[in-house]
Amino acid sequence: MPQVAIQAHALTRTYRRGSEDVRALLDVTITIPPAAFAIVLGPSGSGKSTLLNLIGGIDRPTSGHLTVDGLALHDLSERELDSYRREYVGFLFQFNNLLPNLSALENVALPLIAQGRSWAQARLQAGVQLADLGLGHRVGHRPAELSGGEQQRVALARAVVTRPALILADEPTGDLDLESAQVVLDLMSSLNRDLGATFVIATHNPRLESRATHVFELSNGRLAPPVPRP
Amino acid sequence: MIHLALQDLRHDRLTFGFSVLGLGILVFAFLLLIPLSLAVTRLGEAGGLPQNLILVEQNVLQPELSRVPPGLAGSVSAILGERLERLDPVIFRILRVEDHPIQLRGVAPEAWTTTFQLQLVEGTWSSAASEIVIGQLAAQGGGWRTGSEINIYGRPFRVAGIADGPGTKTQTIWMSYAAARALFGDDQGAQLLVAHLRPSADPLASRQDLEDGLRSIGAPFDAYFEDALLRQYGAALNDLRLLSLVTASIAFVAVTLGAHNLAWLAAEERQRMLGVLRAIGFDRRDVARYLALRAGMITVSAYLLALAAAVVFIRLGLSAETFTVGGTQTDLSLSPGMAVLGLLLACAASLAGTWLSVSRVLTASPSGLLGRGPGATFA
Ligand SMILES: Nc1ncnc2c1ncn2[C@@H]1O[C@H](COP(=O)(O)OP(=O)(O)OP(=O)(O)O)[C@@H](O)[C@H]1O
Ligand SMILES: [Mg+2]
Repeated sequence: MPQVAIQAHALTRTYRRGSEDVRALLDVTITIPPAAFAIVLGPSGSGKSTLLNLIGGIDRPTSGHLTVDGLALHDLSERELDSYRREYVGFLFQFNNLLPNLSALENVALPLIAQGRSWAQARLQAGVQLADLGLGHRVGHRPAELSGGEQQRVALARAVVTRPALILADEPTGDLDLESAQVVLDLMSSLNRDLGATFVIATHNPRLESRATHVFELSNGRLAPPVPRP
Repeated sequence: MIHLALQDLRHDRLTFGFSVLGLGILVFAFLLLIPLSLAVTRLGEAGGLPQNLILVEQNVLQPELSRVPPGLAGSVSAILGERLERLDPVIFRILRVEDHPIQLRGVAPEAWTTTFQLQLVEGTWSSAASEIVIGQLAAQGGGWRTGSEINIYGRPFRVAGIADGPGTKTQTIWMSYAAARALFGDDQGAQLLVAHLRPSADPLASRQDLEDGLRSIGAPFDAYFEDALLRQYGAALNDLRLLSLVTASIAFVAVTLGAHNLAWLAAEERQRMLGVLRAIGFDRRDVARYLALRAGMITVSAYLLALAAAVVFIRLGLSAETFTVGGTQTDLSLSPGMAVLGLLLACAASLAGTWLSVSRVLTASPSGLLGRGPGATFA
């Protein structure tokens, strides 16, 4: 299992909105060691999603350096970024973002297809993954036929099915009731333990803090002083 | 990606159905209009016999209303002199015979093989007054054969044989001049005079001399070549052809735009989904392939559906692929080549549509795609 260290140095991302520059992320320098269960806190608009997007390689920094497992993301070509995402990253979005026309099984199989696996092989592996997360009886259902918590577990299965070294979750429990959120959190921390994957989670949810190995707080795009850990 | 596109369409049958139907109707119109304009074109080009000059009364719109006075033949012979091989009066009618629009020509049987260059396809030339010879198109159109009894203008006739000749694009029944005269009575006489020129005669100069000569004696007659008569007779057909070509072009543009719009819509409504695909690790080429396949499947389905509908329509609706305008028959058919060409064009249109409409989506960053639309994830 590859383990991934994330290093950001003076990471900045500005958006142009009309004539003004919006500084979504400003001069952020952090290090996240391999197998960490890192939490990014901060109020709405503080830049949490922006940071995750950069780490996940679906967006590019305006300036600064960002390396993941020795790969300088800010220097990668589009094609290299594609393969970085394919090989290293699993995404878990707030609104699960499952494809509505595919079954749970097919949704989970997608990242394997992207890696070039055959559908037969991908389905098999996706089925095992879903069963692992307690959804063995739901494989043929489409997202609309699942509860919010189940959908998020399917999304989690999709994020981890390729055994990525890095799993990025943006408000993974934001849309769920407490109980379902608890289930998803438990699954995430056990995956963190079992797979040794690095988790970076953006959240408002203070419950997560107790499980975190690292906590970062953003405010107006800047990194707040380190939170004292109990 | 094929699987993804297939699943996408399979689970979203309503969208798929309406897309196919919408595009299919346009393709259907296109498929019908193209052969129609080709058919009308052929009709206008029905070849004639350059050595035959046809004399018709001036200012009559339909040849069957023309009337040839008794003295005209003598004048024509005098004007053309040596250049004339044969001169025959023709009784010409357009009638419904057992519900088929038919051109009936009553002309001396000696002229059939010479002036009109008919050749027997089966049976014999008619030997009795109650016998007729029918053209091949008439045989097909009416379902008649050698030996069939046909009721014409209230009297029974027997088909002695089936004949075919150059320039015959009409469903024609041939009978002797005498038989036609007996059938229709004396009062209207012949409608046309057909002057068959010797091969050595110059058709254009002969026609000029004939018209000049007739004018100088005050005979109100025009001389046409056979095909020119046909063309004049079907003057409206040219407008019809232009019209159907214009409509076919519009239908084709509509097919192109329709395919383009489908592709564009698919890309627009799926921005988030495409963003998810990119985030998951699919690259631009995968996403482009998915969109192109999806558009292609809709286009091919719509095209095949429309093709099937068009073939059924042409076969059933227009009786055995024949299409008749005032007794003049032409082919209305979809050749396989045309069908394949149409399919290729439609696919090209759909691919071009995909390419045009998704290039923006393809160059956007995945996070940009995810951030758009309702429920934007990372916003
Ligand atoms: N595509 C964009 N164009 C312009 N501004 C953007 C864009 N994406 C984000 N921003 C701005 O950047 C800032 C940080 O946004 P970001 O989404 O990272 O915040 P967040 O901490 O994830 O907020 P939330 O908790 O609401 O998800 C916000 O002010 C936001 O409006
Ligand atoms: Mg956010």
